[in-house]
Amino acid sequence: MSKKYESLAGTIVEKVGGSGNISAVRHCQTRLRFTLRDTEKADKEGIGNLDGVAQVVESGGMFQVVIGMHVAEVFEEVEKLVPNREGQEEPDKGNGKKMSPVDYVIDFVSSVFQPIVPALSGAGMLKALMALLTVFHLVNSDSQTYYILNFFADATFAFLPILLAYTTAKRMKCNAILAMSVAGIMCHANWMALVAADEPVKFFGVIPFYLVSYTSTVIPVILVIIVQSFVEKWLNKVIPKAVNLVFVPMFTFLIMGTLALSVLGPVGDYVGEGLALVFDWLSTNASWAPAALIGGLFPVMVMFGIHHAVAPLGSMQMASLGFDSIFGPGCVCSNIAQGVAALVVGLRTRESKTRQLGLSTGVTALMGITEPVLYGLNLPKKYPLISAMIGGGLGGLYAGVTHTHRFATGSSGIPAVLLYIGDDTMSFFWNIIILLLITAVSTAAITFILSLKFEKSVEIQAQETAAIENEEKNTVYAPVNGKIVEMGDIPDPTFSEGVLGWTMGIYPEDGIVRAPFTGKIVQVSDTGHAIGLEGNDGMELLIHVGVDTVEMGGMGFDPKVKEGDEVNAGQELLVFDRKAVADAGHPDVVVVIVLNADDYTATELVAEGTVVAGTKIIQLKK
Amino acid sequence: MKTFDYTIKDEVGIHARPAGQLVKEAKKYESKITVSINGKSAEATKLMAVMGLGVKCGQTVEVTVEGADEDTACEGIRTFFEENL
Repeated sequence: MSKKYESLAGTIVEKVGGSGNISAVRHCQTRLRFTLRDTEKADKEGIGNLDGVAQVVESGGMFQVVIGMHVAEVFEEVEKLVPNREGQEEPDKGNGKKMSPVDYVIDFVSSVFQPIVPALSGAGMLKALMALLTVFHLVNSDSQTYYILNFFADATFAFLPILLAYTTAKRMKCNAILAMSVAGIMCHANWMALVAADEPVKFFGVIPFYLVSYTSTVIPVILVIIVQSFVEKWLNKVIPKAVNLVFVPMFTFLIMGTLALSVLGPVGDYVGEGLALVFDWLSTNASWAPAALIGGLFPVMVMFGIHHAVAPLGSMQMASLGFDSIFGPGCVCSNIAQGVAALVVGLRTRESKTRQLGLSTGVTALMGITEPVLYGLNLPKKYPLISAMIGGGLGGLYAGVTHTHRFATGSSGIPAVLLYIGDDTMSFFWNIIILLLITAVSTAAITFILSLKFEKSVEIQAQETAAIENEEKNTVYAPVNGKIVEMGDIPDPTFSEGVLGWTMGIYPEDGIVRAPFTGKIVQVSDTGHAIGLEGNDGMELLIHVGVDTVEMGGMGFDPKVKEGDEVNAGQELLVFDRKAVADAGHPDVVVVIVLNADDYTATELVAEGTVVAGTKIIQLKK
Repeated sequence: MKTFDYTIKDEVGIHARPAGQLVKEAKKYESKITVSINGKSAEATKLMAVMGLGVKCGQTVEVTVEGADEDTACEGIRTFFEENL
């Protein structure tokens, strides 16, 4: 655009510490938003004094330069000065803080396996469908249809190395297309033909290739792509720019193809075989152990994130043996146990909030999603977690003893029982039902017994969160549990300067927003992050969750009310995912604004510190 | 009475912050300022009503200004829209 913005952009980039200090830059309607590697390097005052810059705001790890209406033009110029960071949008984690080796491994494993889960479960469900079709004699297992369905389902497993090459390359930040091509070399039918021919293979007559088939394998390709990421970087450095488009891929194929088939593939295959051997040994000599261990300890593994490292054992077993007798059964036991424990707590407690939490998260856990129940209820209350671990362990033990195994990977809730139909028999299906009953009954019994001891104090707690009775006029009750923050301390000028009206905020402790008084819902924003209400006494109030959360476009926000609804004080209005807000880089302060404070003679904050939802927080006087 | 049309360029539409700024701006004038879209209209001094319109990027609003200072008010509001929305 014009020279004016070009020079302004140049000065801003220089003053935030140079383009090297910028790990990401975006803009909204008035601001440039920088994610800086080191905010110390930025000259906040200097930028604020620039002609064309209105203000500099630092919040939520973002360095924001308020430009005003010409922000798009300035951004265009800034973008030219910042090297293209495609493929590394994620800001560096922390200020050069290194992840611990354990965290790194867990992070690596989960980012390599998580993206392929949909394909694995799709293929898995196809296998379940095939099993059902044959069990009910709808399709004959030697028919063409069966044969076709079989390779529909098998393709994912057969070409697992190619899928893993993609995810590994993404994680290692190297070229995913080249990575998948190299995996293709390993899975190529002609290589398989050489393996099948079983005659020694020598490349150029000297380099021996080991006769290993890589279709359906996991570890070899991951090893290959990790090495490839370094080879590719090195090639990009040594090959002149002018010709690297042609020669980097060519040499990558030559080098990696050779390394894959001669060294890395066989090594990976060996490691994979080794792990499989351990499990083979366990399942022949102590077959009850693996599933029982996972059934009992899975919640602990989830807490420490180790479950991501254990999950692939299931995929590996699946790839090499065609079934999974460890992870699947153990995991489903554990999830069902957690769900049942929460349901029992929900029924036993007299605390309304816990009841809701127990019943809702209990049901989701039965469907295989246990993070809410684990962190929301079982872990804080401890005794349901202990019951669930015992119950899950018992179920896992039964699975181990009976060799119950699943024939496909999928979610680990009740619907997963379908995955246990296979080998043209229903016996594993009945076994999984029996073991889930064992799990459910034992967990329920233990939870119930323990609840007699631990749920005594419920009545006292119940008073704290009970619906608001004797509601007073011209009063706002806290919409969330959390810590009160005064207007001036809200990390956003629009709110802290009270542009919209009389303002205060609460840093929430959970993600449930409740009606602050009895009245009517006037407005729910499309993005679910803001709700406007009008009280029966005429008060107009806006509850705005988080700062700049409009940018999340509704992700993580689940409004429970709509425009025109009548609500009672204390009723649930909105549930939001605090983690999603944090991940998006926004402060999650719940901002409460009295829009028509002008109609009152006085507006006063009447609470401080940490409050529970339903505490009186604002008192207005006519 | 004066009116003008304006097409919203702000990516997220008229959400809390710009709506608040609009209300603040509208309160400066004596004239009654109305924002309309798709048959719904809201008085520009009422924040909840303005947000309730749910105006999104790319939509066109009609702004009506009526009152003693309508000439200056119309100019002021038009400038506000152009600079902020």
